[in-house]
Amino acid sequence: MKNQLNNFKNTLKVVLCLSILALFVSCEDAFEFELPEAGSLPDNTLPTAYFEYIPNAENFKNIQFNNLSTESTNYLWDFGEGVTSTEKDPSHTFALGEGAYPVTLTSIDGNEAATSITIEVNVVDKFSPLPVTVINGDFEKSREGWESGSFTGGTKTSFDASSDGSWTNIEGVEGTSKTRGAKWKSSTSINADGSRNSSSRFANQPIIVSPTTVDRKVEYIIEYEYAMENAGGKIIVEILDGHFSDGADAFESSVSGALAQSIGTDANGKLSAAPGIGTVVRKKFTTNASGNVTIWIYGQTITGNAYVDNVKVYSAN
Amino acid sequence: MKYIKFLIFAVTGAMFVSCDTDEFLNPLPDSVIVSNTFFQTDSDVLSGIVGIYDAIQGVNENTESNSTRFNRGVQLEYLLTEHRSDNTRSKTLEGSRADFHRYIVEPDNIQSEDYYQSMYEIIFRANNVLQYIENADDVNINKYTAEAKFLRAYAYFNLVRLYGAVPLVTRVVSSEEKELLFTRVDVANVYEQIVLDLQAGVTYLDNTHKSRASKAAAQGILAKVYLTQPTPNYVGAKALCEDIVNNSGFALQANYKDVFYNELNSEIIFAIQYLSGNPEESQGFSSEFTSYSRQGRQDGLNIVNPNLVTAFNGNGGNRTAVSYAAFGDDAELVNETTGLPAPESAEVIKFLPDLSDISDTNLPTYGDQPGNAGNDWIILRYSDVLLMHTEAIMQGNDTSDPAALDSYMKVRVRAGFDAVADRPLVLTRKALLLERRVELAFENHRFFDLVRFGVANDVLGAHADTKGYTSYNIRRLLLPIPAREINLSDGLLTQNPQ
Repeated sequence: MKNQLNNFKNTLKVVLCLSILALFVSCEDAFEFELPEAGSLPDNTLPTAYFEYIPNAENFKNIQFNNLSTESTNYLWDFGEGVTSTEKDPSHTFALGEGAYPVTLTSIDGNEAATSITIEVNVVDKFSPLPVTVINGDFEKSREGWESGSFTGGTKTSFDASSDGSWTNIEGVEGTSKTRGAKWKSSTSINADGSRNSSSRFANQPIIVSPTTVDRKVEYIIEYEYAMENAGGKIIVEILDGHFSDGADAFESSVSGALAQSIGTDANGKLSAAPGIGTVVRKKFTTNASGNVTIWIYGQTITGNAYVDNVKVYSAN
Repeated sequence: MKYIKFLIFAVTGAMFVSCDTDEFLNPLPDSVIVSNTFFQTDSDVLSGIVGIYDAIQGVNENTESNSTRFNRGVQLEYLLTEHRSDNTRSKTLEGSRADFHRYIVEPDNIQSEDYYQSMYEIIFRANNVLQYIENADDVNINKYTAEAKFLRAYAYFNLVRLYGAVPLVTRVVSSEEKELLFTRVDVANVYEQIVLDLQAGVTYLDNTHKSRASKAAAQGILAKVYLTQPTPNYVGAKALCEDIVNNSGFALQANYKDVFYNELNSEIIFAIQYLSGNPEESQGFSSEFTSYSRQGRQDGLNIVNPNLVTAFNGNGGNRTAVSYAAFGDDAELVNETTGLPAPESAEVIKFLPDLSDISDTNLPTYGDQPGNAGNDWIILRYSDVLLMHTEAIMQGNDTSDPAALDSYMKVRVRAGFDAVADRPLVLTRKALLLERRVELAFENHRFFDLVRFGVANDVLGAHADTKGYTSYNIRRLLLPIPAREINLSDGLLTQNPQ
């Protein structure tokens, strides 16, 4: 029994030694001439490069790129003028604004294989200025829409509602009879030195226009028709910077400088006397940063009657 | 042991039989049309059309739990849309339903595949009906054609917005026609087909039905297509919306809650109907939106994000109390600076199952059959049309146009805002987007709105940053084409880069 066990142990030892030897030998055989590249296949799936882009909703010059390349890990973007990026999905601001800019994307895979694509990126300003609807611009509803909310040291009443307006309606169509209009006279004018008195009347209408920003200058035109019976007076139409519920504040703003001012001095006679008597004024103005502006109309040293009608504001573009 | 021979024999036999089926080894791609049904009479064709709605309706998960054999139709749509917006999320991170809100949907996602299949099932059934349309009565041919095309357009509109370029199949084809079945067609061309199909609906349909295609539904969806397509047609969209407003007799419900709990009311233009308590005709999403006390097989889905709560606090008006509710500890949470409710998790309550009672925030109940809910799924309603009218006038800019403001204010005033004091002088695109967010929350609009307004990457990128969803990138705005389709296509169908 003991002998048998010894035999078994010895056989086991021999087998163990042989197998360890075999393991060493076989390992050497297997790996001795193995190079890192042996057995690997060439990469025939090369990168493709493609991208799309979308403008930022707040700033049309800022373009967000959407990298649609395949089989690639590294990217090189060329936006022109020496500006590049290695991000996968960069964004870039085209400071020059509108135009077509060639942008090149090179997509590179782990083996340095690369594919490039150049796509013209169209930077388009979709901005269109806010349309402005002047409330009761044809004065058919008398003073509605033109009164100040309050008037410290003055009157909220904005003018005399008059039946002696233009023959032309707000659409610019000449009718067969006169329309209604707004009237100023001596007692409702401001003084010759530019100061106001308690009966001076001012038309005050807040409107909202597209603001002028660092990137964009926005211009509008205010258009109106006026006529005066006698020379020497002035019909003054201004665009004020801001909205003013108290007419006194609006007057202060007017004194310290309006965004735009147009002074009419033509003495053509009574506006309603015949078709086409009035002078049509178109005054361009640049908007402020808030977009809140006020139409401000008044008379100075008027004798007899002066009339205003058909006030419109529209984009200058 | 003496039965082992028979057992081996039986098992081997069974293996032969089961392997022998063609279906097993050659599964049919979703976009293939198997034309084995014939529509021989007018009523056959009509039942074929009704069958298309069945594909949209889908099978309730609580009735048939096997996700491979049953399509869910529109019932899972909230995962692909609301979950991928900043509105809602899944409460857990387990399972493929929890992939959507984290932007980690992969090509093998079962719910995405289900939706893709469901949409092609609609297209397949519509094409099939169109093939045999001549067998209908002459007076009905135009109407039936328009109805099938409307439904096909509805499916393609969903597909093209979620998956981008997709195979465009407009006739019955065999599984051999791989080129047609698997070649992705440019987004612009898919839209051309959608517009053509919907125009047929506008021309030939009337406003008889709300749970089936109608003229107003075709007009409304076409308006949205016009606003969404690569080159928007704002003038066309505006005219369509105005025709609905002026000539179709739809009106806002006075009470916002009635929109959802008074089915097919005056505000509904197109809805998919479900029947409460009927396993064959009910839906599962109502129970899936619960989480505080679990109902149905799935729950904790479409959970309201805190940033949507903030939007509701400022702009919801009387809609807030009807749209979502917080339970348990969440009901007590308030923002420390504003003092307004700030639940971390809240449940959607626009689609509560019958007999639900959520008045006790610690013990909401959902009736006796929450898993077989009958709440309709609203696809298009009147306030959406009003807001689209505003959007069409704005043409991608801010506006002070009175007509645009009027339509916008109708929706706001119903929500409890003042017609004069709350009327803005200028309506910005941001404000319109926000209004759509709260008015149409949980109705699967938010994601599409963000994309259509061109702000999806900005808004969702920031949202993903805040939430720590690091997998988000701009390519995630399109879902991957389901892997099953790509595998069947012999390399023809390409994947969306991720």
